[in-house]
Amino acid sequence: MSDAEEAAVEGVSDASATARSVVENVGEVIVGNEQAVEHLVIALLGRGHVLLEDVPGVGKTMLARAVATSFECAFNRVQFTPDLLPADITGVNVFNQKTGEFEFREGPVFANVVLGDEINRAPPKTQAALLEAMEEETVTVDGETRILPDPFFVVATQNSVERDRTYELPAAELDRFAVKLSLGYPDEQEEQEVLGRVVGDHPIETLEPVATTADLVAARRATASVTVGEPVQSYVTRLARYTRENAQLGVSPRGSISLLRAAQGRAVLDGRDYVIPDDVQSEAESVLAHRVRVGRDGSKRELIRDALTAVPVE
Amino acid sequence: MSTATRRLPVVGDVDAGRLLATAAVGLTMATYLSVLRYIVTVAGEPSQFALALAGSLLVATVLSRLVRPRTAAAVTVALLAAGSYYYFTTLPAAIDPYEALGPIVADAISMLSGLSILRIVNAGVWALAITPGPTMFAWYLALRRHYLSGAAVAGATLGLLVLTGDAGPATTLVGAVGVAGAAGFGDTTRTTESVAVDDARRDVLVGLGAVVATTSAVDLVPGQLNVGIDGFDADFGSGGTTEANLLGSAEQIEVQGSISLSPAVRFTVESDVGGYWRVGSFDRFTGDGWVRTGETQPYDGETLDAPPGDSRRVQQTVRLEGRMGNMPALWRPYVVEQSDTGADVLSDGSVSPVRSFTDGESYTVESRIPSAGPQRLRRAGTDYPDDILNRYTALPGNLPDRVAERTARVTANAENPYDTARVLEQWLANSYDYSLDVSKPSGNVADAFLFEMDAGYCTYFATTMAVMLRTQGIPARFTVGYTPGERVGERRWVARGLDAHAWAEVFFPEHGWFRFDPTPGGPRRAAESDRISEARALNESNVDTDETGPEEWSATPTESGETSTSNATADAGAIQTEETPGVSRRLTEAGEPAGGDGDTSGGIDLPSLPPREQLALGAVVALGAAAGARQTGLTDRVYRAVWLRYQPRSDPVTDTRRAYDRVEYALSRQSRPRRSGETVRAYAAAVGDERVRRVARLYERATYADGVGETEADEAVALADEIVGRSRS
Repeated sequence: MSDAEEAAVEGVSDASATARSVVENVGEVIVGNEQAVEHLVIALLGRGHVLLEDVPGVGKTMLARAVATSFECAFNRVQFTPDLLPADITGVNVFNQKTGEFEFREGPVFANVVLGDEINRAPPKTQAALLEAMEEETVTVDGETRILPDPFFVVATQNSVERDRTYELPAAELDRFAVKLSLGYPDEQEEQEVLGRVVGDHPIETLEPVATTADLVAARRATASVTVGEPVQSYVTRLARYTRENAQLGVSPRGSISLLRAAQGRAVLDGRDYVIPDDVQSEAESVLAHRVRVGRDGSKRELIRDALTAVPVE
Repeated sequence: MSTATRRLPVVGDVDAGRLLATAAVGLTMATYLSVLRYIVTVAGEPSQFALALAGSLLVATVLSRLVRPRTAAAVTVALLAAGSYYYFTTLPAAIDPYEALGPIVADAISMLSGLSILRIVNAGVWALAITPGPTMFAWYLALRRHYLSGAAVAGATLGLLVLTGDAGPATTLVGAVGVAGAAGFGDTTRTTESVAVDDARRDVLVGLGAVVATTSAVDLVPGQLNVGIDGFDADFGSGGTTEANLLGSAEQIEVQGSISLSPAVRFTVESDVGGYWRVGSFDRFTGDGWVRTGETQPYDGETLDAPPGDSRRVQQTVRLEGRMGNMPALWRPYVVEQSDTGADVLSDGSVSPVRSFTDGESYTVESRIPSAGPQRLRRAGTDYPDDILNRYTALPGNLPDRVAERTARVTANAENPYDTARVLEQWLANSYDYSLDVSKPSGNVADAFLFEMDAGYCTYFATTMAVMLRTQGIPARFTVGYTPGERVGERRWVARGLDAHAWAEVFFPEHGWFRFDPTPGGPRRAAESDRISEARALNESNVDTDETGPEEWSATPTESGETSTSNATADAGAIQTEETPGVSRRLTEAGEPAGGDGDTSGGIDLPSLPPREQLALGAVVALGAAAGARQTGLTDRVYRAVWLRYQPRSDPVTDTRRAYDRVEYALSRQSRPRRSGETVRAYAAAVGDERVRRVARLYERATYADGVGETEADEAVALADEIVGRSRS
């Protein structure tokens, strides 16, 4: 018996189909890393934003572009540099001499999918501009608040090498990313396949959209309606409490909420209209690990894995 | 589902587990203390017991705050030593401590093999002496939170009393519960005791519990077991006949409820005179039965004590018809001239075979029948020897005063012990009906018979009479044996099972013991002859010998019979009453109703309810088994097994979830339990097959989604049944 059978709500099965096709489509471009793709799509379904931390050249940008293309979304890329200003992200009011009025020239943030590349290279003030947009889904320029397009999805990347001359994201800001992922190097076979694919046209050039922006909006709505039973809520709470008891800084309530949303997204991807503890477990690491602070010797991911082992499931 | 450990609630700053463990130790202590208190009460010194108990508890409480267990153990030993010393000082001065050592060891051994403490002459002192040691130590240990050790001390003391047969099934069971409770609750409050030591102690306790339960189960049978082994035929072993009740056990008698009459022939006597063929007597009244204290000695071939006054010599030769563990003889046996089994002498002067007689064996006893008449007995006075007075006027401490008051009122006109006895004999016979169909009263039998019952059989009459006499300071005892039976020739009598009888004996200085039979004679004989006729009509075996039969022996009675002429037995041992009944009537209170019209059927066809002992035995065996099963985790397994196989239905969600629980339990036995952070789905995928995964999915729906319907629940339960059935087979 398949999980799809269990889906009772039509919205959920549609959303599930949408999500699956996107995952598949992105897989055309990104070799291996199917899990990272799933996590990313799940974050997308759960209205979260994604932080990719990786060495350069493993396909971070390609991933973001592929997702945007699959949804037929507007895609913008911002390369964060030390001299980047907030206005370079949000946009500026420009005086139009013809009309004699100020006109708002939209920044790169006005898109459905925004890739903030090497976000830790820009000073905090500039980072904050993007983070405000992520949190509020609005941009305020010269006192005027403008609503960003819906859906709005940020994929930020951090370079995990060249840590000097960077502005490390503070914990409070890290917390705003629903998911932190890393792609990692492909293995030998995968890398060979990558090379094979780029001969001729790069696959991203030929990638076809598989869903519409409207599909994504509907899928997000369906995801939000996925049932989270009391036992699952309690399980998420207990996981969060475990991290608070066993780390220097535990998971915030915002983290719990993100985990629940991600679990809903996972349920949708599996075609289920209710969340089971397995959904929570499969998302916990990517959702929670970057939110905790552990001692010098500890590993954040290990702490989350410990929590999953130790906290009993009903 | 959750593997989180459950903890007992905490009351204030006192752990409920500790309270329960302390209570469990207290419960165990209460069991052996109740037995000891009963013994002391029967022996008549309850106030001293309360004192000893309170003192012990107080000392334990104080010591628990001051000294370490080692010191407390020393104090316990000291208390036991002091108790033993106190006990020895109360023994007759003639006993040299060193000479006494042998018998004491022998006593200890026989006590551990079922000799009731009540049979010790100074039972009350013994109980008082033993009380402080274990009580102090057990309570000390409980207060020091060594619950297991405390329960072990109390349990061992109870175990001793179980071995002596004094702790009844209910008491034993409560004790076992207490020990189990201490073992269970003590667990949660483990303090300084290490796990290994705890486990070892628990093993010991479980072993002790098993011994206690087993012994009590075996011990419960004694009367019947005795009967089966060396007492009577199997048909006596039913435990429901007067004979089995009265004569089945050598040392004690418990007053029963309804009983029936056995018509089978027991023995034939050849004797110059007939009389009550006496088996033995009992001196200690326990409230619901009688115990014979003192030692049984082997018969050394010498002459026994003769009655102090004038006596008549009579030789009887008895031939047994079937097995019998008694040696009926006229009072008072003087010489055992011949016995196929040898003979023992009971502490009251009766004789008894060393082993049971078998069919066709015989013995010859020469008796000296005291021949004093009423006039001399009236003048006998009240100058009783001390040992007689101590032994035969003792009453349980809890005997209500109203018995003495009623006796005093009934016998107000009697001026001497003889008249008192005679009046009571008549009054009882006249005031109460004869019936075999009575339910055993609770509490003191004599008191209950006097004030609550209106009919009974010989045991009730004889018990009540002996107790009433004792309230007036007149030495009396409860005696059992056979009535003369059917006279089949000039010198021959045939006694049947239904001739088994109980009566009272009264002591007169310078003359010895004399028989008084308060049971209404007419109704009793009517019941017995009815039973014989019925048995003959039904062709029951062994009812008649060659000599007996429906026709009475028709020789001209040689003596002017008393009330009865149907069995014209010459009744040796009866006091030759020359007075007419009128004299007695003068002595009796006017207006007392004359009861007993003799038309009782005797309750021959009794409903075949199992006797009380068997019920109690069954109960204790069942409960003992339950306790043992609990200790070994069997109940848990049985519960699990039932829970696993049988699923009662309620709402679909509960049903589905329970179906999964059953599957998971079965799987956990089969492969491995679900780990703490493992989800149902992951577990099912790891260890289960397709059906298990399906049940897991249904469980998820029931638990995490909006619920499941009847169909899903049915499916889950059906699958669970299937999976569970497979995994167990």
